[in-house]
Amino acid sequence: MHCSGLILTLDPDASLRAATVARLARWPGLTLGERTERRIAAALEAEHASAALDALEALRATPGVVHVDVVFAEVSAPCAAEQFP
Amino acid sequence: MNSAQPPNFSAHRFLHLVCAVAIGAAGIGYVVGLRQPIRIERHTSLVEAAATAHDAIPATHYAAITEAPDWPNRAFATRVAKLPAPTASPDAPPVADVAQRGPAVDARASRRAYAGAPPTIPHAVDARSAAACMSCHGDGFVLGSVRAPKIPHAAYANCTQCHVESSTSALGPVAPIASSFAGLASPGSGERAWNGAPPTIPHATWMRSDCLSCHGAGGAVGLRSTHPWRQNCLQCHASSWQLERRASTDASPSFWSDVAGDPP
Amino acid sequence: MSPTTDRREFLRASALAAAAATLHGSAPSAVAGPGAPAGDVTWDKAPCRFCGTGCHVQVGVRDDKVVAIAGDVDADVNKGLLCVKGYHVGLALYGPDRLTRPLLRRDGELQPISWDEALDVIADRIAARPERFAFYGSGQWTVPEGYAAQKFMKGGLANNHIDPNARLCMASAVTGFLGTYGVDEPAGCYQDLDECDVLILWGNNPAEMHPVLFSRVIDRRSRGDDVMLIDIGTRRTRSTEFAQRFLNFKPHTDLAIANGIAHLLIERKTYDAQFVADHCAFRAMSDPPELNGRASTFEEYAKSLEPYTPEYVESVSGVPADEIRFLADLFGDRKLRITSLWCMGMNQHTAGTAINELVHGIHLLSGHFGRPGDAPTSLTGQPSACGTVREVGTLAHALPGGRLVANEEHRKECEALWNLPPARIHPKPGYHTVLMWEKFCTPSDQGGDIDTLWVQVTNPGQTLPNLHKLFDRKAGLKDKFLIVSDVYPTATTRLADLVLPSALWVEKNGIYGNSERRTQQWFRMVSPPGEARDDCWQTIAVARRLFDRGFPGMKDKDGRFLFEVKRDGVEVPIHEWAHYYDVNVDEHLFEEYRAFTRKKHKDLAPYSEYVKARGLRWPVVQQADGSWRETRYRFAEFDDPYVAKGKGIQFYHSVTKDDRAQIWFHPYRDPPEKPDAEYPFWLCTGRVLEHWHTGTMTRRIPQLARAVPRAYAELHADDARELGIANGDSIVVESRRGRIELAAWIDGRGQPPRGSVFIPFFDEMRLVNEVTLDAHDPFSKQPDYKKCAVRVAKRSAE
Repeated sequence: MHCSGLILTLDPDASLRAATVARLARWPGLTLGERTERRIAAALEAEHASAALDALEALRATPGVVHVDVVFAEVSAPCAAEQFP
Repeated sequence: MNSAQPPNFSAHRFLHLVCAVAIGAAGIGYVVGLRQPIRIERHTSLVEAAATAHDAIPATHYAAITEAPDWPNRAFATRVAKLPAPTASPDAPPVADVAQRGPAVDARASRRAYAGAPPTIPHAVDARSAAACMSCHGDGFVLGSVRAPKIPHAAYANCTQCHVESSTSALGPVAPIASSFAGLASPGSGERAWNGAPPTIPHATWMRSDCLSCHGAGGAVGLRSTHPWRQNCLQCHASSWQLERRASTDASPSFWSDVAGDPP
Repeated sequence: MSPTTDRREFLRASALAAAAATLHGSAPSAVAGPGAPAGDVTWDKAPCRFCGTGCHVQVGVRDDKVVAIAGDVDADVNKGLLCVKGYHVGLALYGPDRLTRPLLRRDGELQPISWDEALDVIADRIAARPERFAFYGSGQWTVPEGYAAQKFMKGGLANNHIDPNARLCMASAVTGFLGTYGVDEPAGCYQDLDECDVLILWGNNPAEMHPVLFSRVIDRRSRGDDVMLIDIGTRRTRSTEFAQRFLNFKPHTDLAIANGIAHLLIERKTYDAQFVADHCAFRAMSDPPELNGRASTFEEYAKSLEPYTPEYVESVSGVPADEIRFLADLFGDRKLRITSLWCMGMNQHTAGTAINELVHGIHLLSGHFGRPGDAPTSLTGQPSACGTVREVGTLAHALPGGRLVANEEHRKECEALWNLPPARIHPKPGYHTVLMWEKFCTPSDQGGDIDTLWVQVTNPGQTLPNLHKLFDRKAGLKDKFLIVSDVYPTATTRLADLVLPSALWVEKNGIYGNSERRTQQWFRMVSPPGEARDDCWQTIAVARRLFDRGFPGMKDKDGRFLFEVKRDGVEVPIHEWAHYYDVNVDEHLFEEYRAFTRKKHKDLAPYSEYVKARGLRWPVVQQADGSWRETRYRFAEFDDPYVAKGKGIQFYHSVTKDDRAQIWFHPYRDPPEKPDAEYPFWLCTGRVLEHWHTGTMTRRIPQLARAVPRAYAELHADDARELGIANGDSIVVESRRGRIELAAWIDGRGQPPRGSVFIPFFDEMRLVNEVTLDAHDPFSKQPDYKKCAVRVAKRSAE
């Protein structure tokens, strides 16, 4: 399990924002946190570091997202295929 | 006469003390006999935690009196020592300044899931009776920085229906509960048409119609009105149809869109 | 939660916190919070997700998320007020461990699979042995969800093994209504609470369980009304604190109390002779016992009641004789308006049907019926126990609209409305809840003839009584297959072979029916997370899979799919998730279902009427001007359009076909298990204000979970002292069936009398139903969660 903290910077065009946020909200493994007018704090979970990198690329390519900053990364956790009990 | 008095007086006082101790012990014995065993060390530590973390100090359990005969007053004394002196008389309350508003709004928000949610209770409560709430919150009081806000919707009698303890100490420690809910933030301050105009009301007034609960002399510094003696708040401060309508989607759209220029 | 999920949560929270800190550090002045306008929040109405009260909330939505909740001031039920659960209901959607993908158990582990695979797995199991499949549903099903499941089972699979969790919750209320009036559900409504002079709580704690209704009564005192509250209970609760009188009775002896009141009404001739002569008949138990018993007479009734003198009742119940006399004084006074309220105390009772009928009987005998404020009113615990279970009839013996499986005429009516070939519906009732789970947990070669069971919208792994016998045993049975549709991991998903992620509350369209016959509609407002989908879609998608494979039952008599929906003459593929919301499937199912509701004078209005209203109470009848009018008081001429002119009161579904309601006599008999030397305590289970049902939603809401973080055992202080138990001590509560360890709470929220223990059932870490008894009422098949014998001990230090 790989977990990163992200700052997503949104397009200055406010008309795109609701749709972008809605899309991000449904993004698998992505948990949205606090937000300002143009930035959203988020946590991204992925099975492996490579999957996380792929997800970052995909996030950057998402219409309405202009930039993704990684501000926190946790790579030490075991990579078990965990399920709930 | 004067010269003979001091020894008599102290003997007299000693007798009183003995009597008081004897009666007290008997009383405590009786009460302890009635009550279930209570583990005093746990209770004491809870009280101390409450006294440092929160504003209100739980009453002493009868069973604990024997072990720590002076502690409620002691705890209170430590609190009182820390209480800042009142800065102004109730007739001239401190003016709410903008710098104080932020912390006051944050403190409010910390006890609410979202703007408009009923606040949780930051102190222990009587687990069974709602009547106890009103002894402090019926009229509200302020003692130094300790504040019991006045209930803004007095017609509702079952307080614990909506307000629950933020952590029920009797049921043991509570781990943090994770949630990805992001509640509506506090609306902050109202709008002013020009510098010096009376601000509009930035929140819905449903169940918050007693403005002085928060904005009177008993409100948090930063939220208090500069003129609590005026009674008719809505004379100058306008409520917002947009905020009030959340609870009523039936307001006739054609009429309101004409008036407000804001189709629902 | 396992350590790994805890750790995952912690990591995610850390990542979010780090990102949020950076966010504020870089742009502190732009924080959307204080100062941000609330104007971009859209609000819409919905009934609350939790109990059967049926409060309306306003849901505030921004960016596809629920961000706030407000009481709905236009709602007649709650008039702008909610309880703490209702105010936090929006948070139920946002627990960190929402189920977002279908999961299949492979090699002991639940592993993600696609929806397509999941539907095939279910279709394979059903197609192989359709008669060994069972559907276990819920009073939390929406009306269309329950209706679709009902049609799928009885109309599609010709299989009647469909039963809901409401069997555990209000089945005895149903049999009580049927036995008394010949038709289910209360005649009165919540307005009785505004108008009564006396409110009697029969084993009921509405201050915690139906707080909004309780406030509706006690808030009248703030306005100067004089309302007398009488609490007839087995322990002191928050409701007791507001009551003028508390009648503390020994568990199960409520039958003796009811008979004691009737005894005095007759002895003193203070009963309402005119009302009885005009509108009532008498009934007694037949041999062998049957729900409708046999006809009796006033003389036989009076004779049967003779032994129930106040002194005898005191000796049985422990309630002082003078209190029984006081109750009889009240009922003997026709000037007073008296409302009785009850819920699980009278329903979860091995004599549940009997005590329900006795309380209706006192109201009828004394004429305290049919005027606003004069009503025997049973409450429900689930949001649509009435709407979905009792009206749609998602029970093993029932069909929609009060029709019965065992009645050939009824089956024919139903087949006609569903356009099915004749004799499609199986004539034999299916397994009721306890039997269904017993069969599922019994090996196939030993008569366990249910081998695939689909659970929707409920948590039987926590709520079934005697869990060892009725649930846990499934673990060792290889050929049994458990399918669970839910929103979070639960005590039930522990043993599931296939888990389906469901949409919750305002993530889907829905219709509920509350305790006062009020049908309430809402629209989907936010998207469900991940691949979570509506339960109703899940049922329809499985049906379609069977249809596509040529399973004959999924076709109507013209060969069309059972759930076919057309728009402009073209079929909409609603079984494909991408197209499910192309049309309003709820509206289609509801309009189809409406035809059934007119069969027993429970008429519902068109869907569009409910969109406009904060619910409407049936029968909703169209008037001459085309408008739709709801009914507050059934059987009363002043309000019920089905009462003939001049009748005053007319029980138009009377079992005796003469417009009379039945006044029953039932004797007091000992319960199946009583405390003895070995197990000397009574155990009662129940709820607390902050948690709802099994806590799967409320335990994930921080404000509620922190208020009551875990289950506890309430004990009397004297019992605790004798056992050397202090507040907070870990204790063991053990019955003949199982044991549970938890902390003692003395003089806490409730105060049980000596010799009894109370434990709430919301906590999946402390399953009190490992301890409870599966004995049940002979007619309703509802188990008794309120009474069994246990022993209590301080847990020895290990």
